[in-house]
Amino acid sequence: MPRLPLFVAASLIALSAAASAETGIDITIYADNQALVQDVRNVTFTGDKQRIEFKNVSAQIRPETASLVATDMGIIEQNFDYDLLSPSKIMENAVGQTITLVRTNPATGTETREQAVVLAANGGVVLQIGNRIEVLRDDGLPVRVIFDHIPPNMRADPTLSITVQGKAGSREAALRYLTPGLGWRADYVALYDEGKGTIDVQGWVTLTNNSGTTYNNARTVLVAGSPRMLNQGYNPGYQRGGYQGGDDTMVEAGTESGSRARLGDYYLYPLAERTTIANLQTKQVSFLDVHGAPAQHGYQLRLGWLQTSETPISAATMYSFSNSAQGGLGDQLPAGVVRFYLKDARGQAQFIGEHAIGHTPMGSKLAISTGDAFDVKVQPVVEARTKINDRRWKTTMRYTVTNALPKPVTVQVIQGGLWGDTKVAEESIKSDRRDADSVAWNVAVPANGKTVVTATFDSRY
Amino acid sequence: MRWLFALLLALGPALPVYAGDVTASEPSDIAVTIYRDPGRNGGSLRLVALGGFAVITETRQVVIPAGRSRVRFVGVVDAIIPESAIVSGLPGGVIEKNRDAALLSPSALMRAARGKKITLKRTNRVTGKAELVEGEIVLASDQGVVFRTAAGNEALHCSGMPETFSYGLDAEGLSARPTLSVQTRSSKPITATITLTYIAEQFDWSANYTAHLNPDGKTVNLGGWITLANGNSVSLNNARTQIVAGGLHREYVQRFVNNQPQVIARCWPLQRTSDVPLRPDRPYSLATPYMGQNFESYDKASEIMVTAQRRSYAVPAPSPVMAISAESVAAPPPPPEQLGDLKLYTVPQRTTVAAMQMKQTRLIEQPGVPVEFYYAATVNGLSYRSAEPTSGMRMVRTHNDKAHQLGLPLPAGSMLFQQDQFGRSMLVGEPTLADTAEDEKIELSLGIASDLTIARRTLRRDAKSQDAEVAISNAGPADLVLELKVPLYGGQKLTSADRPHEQRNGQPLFILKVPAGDKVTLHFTTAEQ
Repeated sequence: MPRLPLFVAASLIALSAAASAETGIDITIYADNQALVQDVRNVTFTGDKQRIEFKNVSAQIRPETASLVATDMGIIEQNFDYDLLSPSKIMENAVGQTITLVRTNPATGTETREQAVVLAANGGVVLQIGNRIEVLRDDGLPVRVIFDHIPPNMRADPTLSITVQGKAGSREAALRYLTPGLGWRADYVALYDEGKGTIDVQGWVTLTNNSGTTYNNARTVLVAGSPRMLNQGYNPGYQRGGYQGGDDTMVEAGTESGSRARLGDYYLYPLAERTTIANLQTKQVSFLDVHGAPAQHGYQLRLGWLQTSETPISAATMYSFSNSAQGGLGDQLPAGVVRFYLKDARGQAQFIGEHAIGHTPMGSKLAISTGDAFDVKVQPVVEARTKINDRRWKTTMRYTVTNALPKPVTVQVIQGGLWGDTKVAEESIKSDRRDADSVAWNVAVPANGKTVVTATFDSRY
Repeated sequence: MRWLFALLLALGPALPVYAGDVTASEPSDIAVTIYRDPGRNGGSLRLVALGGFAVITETRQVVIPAGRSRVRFVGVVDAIIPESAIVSGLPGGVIEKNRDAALLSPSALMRAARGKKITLKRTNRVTGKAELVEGEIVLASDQGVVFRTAAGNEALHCSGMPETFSYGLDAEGLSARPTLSVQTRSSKPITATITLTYIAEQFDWSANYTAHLNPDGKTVNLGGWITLANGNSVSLNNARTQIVAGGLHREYVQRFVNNQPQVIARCWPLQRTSDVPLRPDRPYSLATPYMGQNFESYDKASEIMVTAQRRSYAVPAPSPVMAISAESVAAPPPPPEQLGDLKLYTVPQRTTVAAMQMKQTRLIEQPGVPVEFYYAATVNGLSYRSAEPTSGMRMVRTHNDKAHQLGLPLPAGSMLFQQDQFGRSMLVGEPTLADTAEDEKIELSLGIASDLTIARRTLRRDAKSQDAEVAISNAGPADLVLELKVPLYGGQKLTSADRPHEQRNGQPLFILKVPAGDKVTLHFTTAEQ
């Protein structure tokens, strides 16, 4: 296993320190592709000014957030060098210096060596060899150029260096920084049992590392919550789960507190064991496994004001359950994607759709739509619009709910867009006024049958 | 770069093996369930951009030693959604699941070898003598490769002689094929049969129907094919294949692609007129996240659309016309199984869903389906201007029930409508069909009937009402039925008309018989409230 060595350069300030052993990495990963890395290493302080270079930090490090903490030590300056090494850069830096040219005779294969001074490296290289001047490879023949050294301020990777002065001796120093490129979310596997009306839910945290660096043997804590960061607009709806539209799954917000550790208003999910988070890796660790929680299967369709359709519209398939301690999953649910499965006739689990959820407090009620029902459809039709007087209109709606399944179903038809003081004047079955904007009918439809619901609205427009 | 590939082959079998690693067998059994592109309800799949997905279930065997070990599943489908993976059959459970997207490649190998001991082999072209030099890679990037030997630092590929590195055998973390791994723990060595289930993208399927009009002109023979495609580079051999019909909800999830620049070994300067870059060509961040779903295929698709737009649209999935003429080879599969609110079809025999392949299999075979032809047109109920004459649309209608020889779920797709003429089958139209449940009506438009002309004139108007005349002329050789829609909005009302009408979907509809070579006139009056 490769170490995470701390390269202490015999550097410009020229006070060398002994190399050191790692003592561990702690990573705290937030849901919004942000992570706090704490890298504790043993550093030997010389008692004088010294420069410490940190290699193997995140390739996407936010260098302005880096800080080094150790006892009896003061920081003089921090530098982040991103002048990267390349063959042309080495040549540019060799201007005025002596290099070695090695030519191989294409006919005989014999090798000749010459010393040369680089005069210029502007759009080509001009060399002085003895007392003549030549342009490198101007004759098109290959020539090897050997440099005695690599310019010290250039590196193959961007490098963070900190100049410190500390009391002599070897002790632990912690480097902390923020980096994007590490993120996580939850993924849920939900297996619904149609016969029993229950659901088995497994929750996994899915951690992705796109930071360009591998973190070996790291202690990892995941934070469910999105701290407000620089350069982010204020959009709490979006920030809730990092998903837009994730919140329409929560029917009723919960009020129960779980036993999970917290940080302020965020829940913490520490991983049980140290783990290596490799670059370009997706890692999943289980955090929830519940069997047999009650769940319901239903149908819902939400319609806009004056919506007419010539063809029937599929109702959405809804699965409802709770994450309450009583009769539910018994845990708060960090934002993520819930994937639903059903067992087919052979007993093999088949995927039936997925939906994102936001951070959901414990005790909430959820209703998750997995897709369109093939056999349960609703055709809304505006039957008539009549002007009663200058200020009132009467609108007659007909909703034809069809069911091609061999069992009866109940479909919740929601008429939205009831703005102003719109009232339901008449209706064929009793509705439930959910809020000022919408009414809902729970329409029972017989097996292989249909039910027609009519309603008349009294509205200002 | 042939030298590197040769090296790779030599290294191949010896690749990452470390303590505690066990590799599961190749799948002994595969089941695949293919889902339609959730955004498409009808139409045909596009091979250049398959938007559907599949759920793949693999059965593999593995010998697990006592203690903690890592089980590797090599050769999963490349477009795997790693977070969807479900592993069952491990007696000790799953400690963690990992998907490493870092694939072994010449670039990745050279990057991984940075700072480690390598051997440079340089062959003299004239003498054929190879010189071996011990060294270390200082830099491997898209700007070039620099290595250090006892003589000093130099760039690779400047000597004009064939140069290559050989590496030590520890390409840790790099895998040759897409790999999923799980950490598990076992108290004793055991042999386990593991089921691995995951979602993979770049699959799609569509129904393709052919409706062949019988000589009686009143019935069609309706055939249906399942057209499925696998856009991945992994073949699913001898797989139990199933198909799910219906629209599923899918979630947009931000994905990252490996976009580290490729290592390019180049010598600078090689040309006589080189440019010295004033600043580094790329910013300091080596790995930049790309916000998007499957950037690579999206980019490819848009590239094709720009450079060869016609091709990408003009070559949809081949239509099953050829297949139907060879009278029903395979029996259609059994009727679908109900899967929640979706329909699950099982292809009767196992089949191989090969990489980059489109495949067709029978869906239905329903002869003698009664159909009714009619024409449809729409004119404005209230309009302050007369309209240009327009053509009618030829329509066909049937009902998905037993009386019409149907009464079975019809998954979304396209329908080739054909008729015999000149002793051959000719195409009449290719309408699109949405998911159709039992006992639903089916109304499909076949094409524009240019012999049927509809001209609407506004004859009189005042502030609140107007009179209109619609002249309908039929230049065709047959009598026809036109269903003329007169949509009204807001408080508009049809107050009188010289022909009867009915209300359909809340709007007035005139059903008019137009004799061959004749003209019919309709007058109506509409008013605003």
